[in-house]
Amino acid sequence: MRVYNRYILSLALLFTLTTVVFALAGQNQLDLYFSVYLIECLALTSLFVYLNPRATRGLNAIWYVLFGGFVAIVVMKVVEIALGIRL
Amino acid sequence: MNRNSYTLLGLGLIVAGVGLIPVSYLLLQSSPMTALGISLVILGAVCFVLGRTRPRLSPEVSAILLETGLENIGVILEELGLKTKAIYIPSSLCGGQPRALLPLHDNPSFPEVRQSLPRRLIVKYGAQPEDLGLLISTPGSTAIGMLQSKPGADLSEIEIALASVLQGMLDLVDGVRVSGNEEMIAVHISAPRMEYRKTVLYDCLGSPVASIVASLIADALDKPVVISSEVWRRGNSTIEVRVLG
Repeated sequence: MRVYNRYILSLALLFTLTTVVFALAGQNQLDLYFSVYLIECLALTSLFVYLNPRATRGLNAIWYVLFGGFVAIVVMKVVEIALGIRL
Repeated sequence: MNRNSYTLLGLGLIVAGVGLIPVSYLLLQSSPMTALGISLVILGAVCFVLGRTRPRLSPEVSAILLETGLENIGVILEELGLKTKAIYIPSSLCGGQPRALLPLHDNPSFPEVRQSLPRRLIVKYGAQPEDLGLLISTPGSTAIGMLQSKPGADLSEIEIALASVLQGMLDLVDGVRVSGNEEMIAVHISAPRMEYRKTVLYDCLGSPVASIVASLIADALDKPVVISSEVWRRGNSTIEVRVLG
């Protein structure tokens, strides 16, 4: 399936570029990497609107899990700021 | 890649990522390498999910079924000596699925189909005794069933629906663009994977891609349509569909 191959290659390329650019910039915050990966995944899925419904549903399940991780990161940051501790 | 390849690739990437994350975080203490491990896991999960959503039948089986069906219809048309252009009837006039009507007699003007047609092979579509035709299912009849909802009559909605079917679900083309007006709609197809053949079947019904286009447009507009022309040039195709009624 060419559209699947294009999707996977585009995602791999985005992840690689992001990692390389952030590494060169000396970025060490894992939550920033994770957040940018999640944004790239959601944006790319929005661009590939012509994926069949089953594939879209499967990918959405992955994004829900990742978004849950993102929310957990946000909550941890808020707790760190509010309580003045480092988790 | 076949279905199993995506699944194997996904599992491999997930295993690699899960192995890389603790090594990078605890031993190497490198955030970029840990992030790379996370990206491998995400990519592996994507490959795994996509592998599970691929169709079970191999492309070769699908090609056999398609070729057999088209050949049978082609033989019938040749035996009957039909050379008329098919009129694509919307599902509202055909009992739930868009179909192609092939009038059995030559007529300079296309007949008007206003009444619901019975689900039979040979149907009477008009008041005159000679208004008989073949009502057949085409690749478009089945492909329309893949859409979750009927597209609207707007050209942009038709374009989205066509791209969803031809590009997303069937992976038959690289791109779809729709233009035109109420009487004539032009659909520009980029890099269609199926070639046009100079046969009686294709002359009457159009290519499978054109058949899907015509069926979808007929259903979207809820009006009979005819494939006016199909031009193939430099690996791209332009299909002109004339709206009747």
